[in-house]
Amino acid sequence: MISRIYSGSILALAIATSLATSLPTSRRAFNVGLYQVKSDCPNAQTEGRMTINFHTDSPTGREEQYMLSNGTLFGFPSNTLISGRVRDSDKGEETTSSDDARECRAILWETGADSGLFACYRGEELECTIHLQKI
Amino acid sequence: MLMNKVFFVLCYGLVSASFAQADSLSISLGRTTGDPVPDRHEYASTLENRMFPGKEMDGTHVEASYLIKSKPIGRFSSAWILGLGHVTADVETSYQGGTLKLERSTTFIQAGFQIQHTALIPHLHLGAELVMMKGIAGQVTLRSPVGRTQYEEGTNLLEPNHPYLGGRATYPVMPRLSIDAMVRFYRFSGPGLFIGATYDISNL
Repeated sequence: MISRIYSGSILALAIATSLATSLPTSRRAFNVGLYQVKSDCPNAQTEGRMTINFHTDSPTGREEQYMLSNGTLFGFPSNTLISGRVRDSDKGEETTSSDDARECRAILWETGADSGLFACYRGEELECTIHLQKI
Repeated sequence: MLMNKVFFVLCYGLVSASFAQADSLSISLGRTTGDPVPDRHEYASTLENRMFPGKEMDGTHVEASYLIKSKPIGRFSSAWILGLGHVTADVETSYQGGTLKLERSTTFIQAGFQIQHTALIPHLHLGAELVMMKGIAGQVTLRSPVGRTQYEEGTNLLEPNHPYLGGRATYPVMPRLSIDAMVRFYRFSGPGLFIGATYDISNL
């Protein structure tokens, strides 16, 4: 009897989750607005505020560019933030801000993220981290 | 979608397992490396990991399974497997400011089929199993000295994972109690080694 109940529960769960996986997905990016920033990057401001502004869509529609009001103060290599779908599939979406010397990467889990933690690498070596929290 | 269909077939087999003999309860504990329950972001995957290049998640895996056993055919016995489990794992990297760490805990269900031969080696039952896992809930946290972000995993876990193949050696220590050693081969992580215990219960 118990095995029947288990089996029924599993089947119901499989149906429910299969339906849920057919929902469309969206690109993930930070919400525009004012953020509280903390950084431990060398020669950078450790705490303060900055703004993320939407700048432009890429021609392919896979990426979006955002402008940071004063991101370089906190250790970002530039004031341009590239966000969106990096590969064709739904997998591996991320946000980066990069130049030749330092690359900062963040994992965005939500479609409109209000917080994020950037890991900034110089080559293969993790150099510092930057945390954003929307105000 | 193929994985969904395979999962349905497994579930249908379980529902129609009206030929059950005597069932068993099994508890297993193991070490997990890599990403045994991938989500659709693949942030923890060895292949796609850009936050922790060259590193993979490492943690523990505990599960409880209900084995619906079929009538033995000669020296062969078989069982449908229904399981519920939990994985906790993390990966970290140090830098001059401290430690950047990604922690993940995931609850999953699994279903599969097991076949064993009871007389290849005296006192030891050797078998193989094909099992499919599916994450149902979880939480992932990324933290560093300057702050942290956290996400409740839900819909991104719903894609059924590819089935994994496992080998199991069972040693009966008492008439109804046996201990198991298992090795499992996941698609997105290294082989997992497990130990466990199985207790035969009457057909419910």
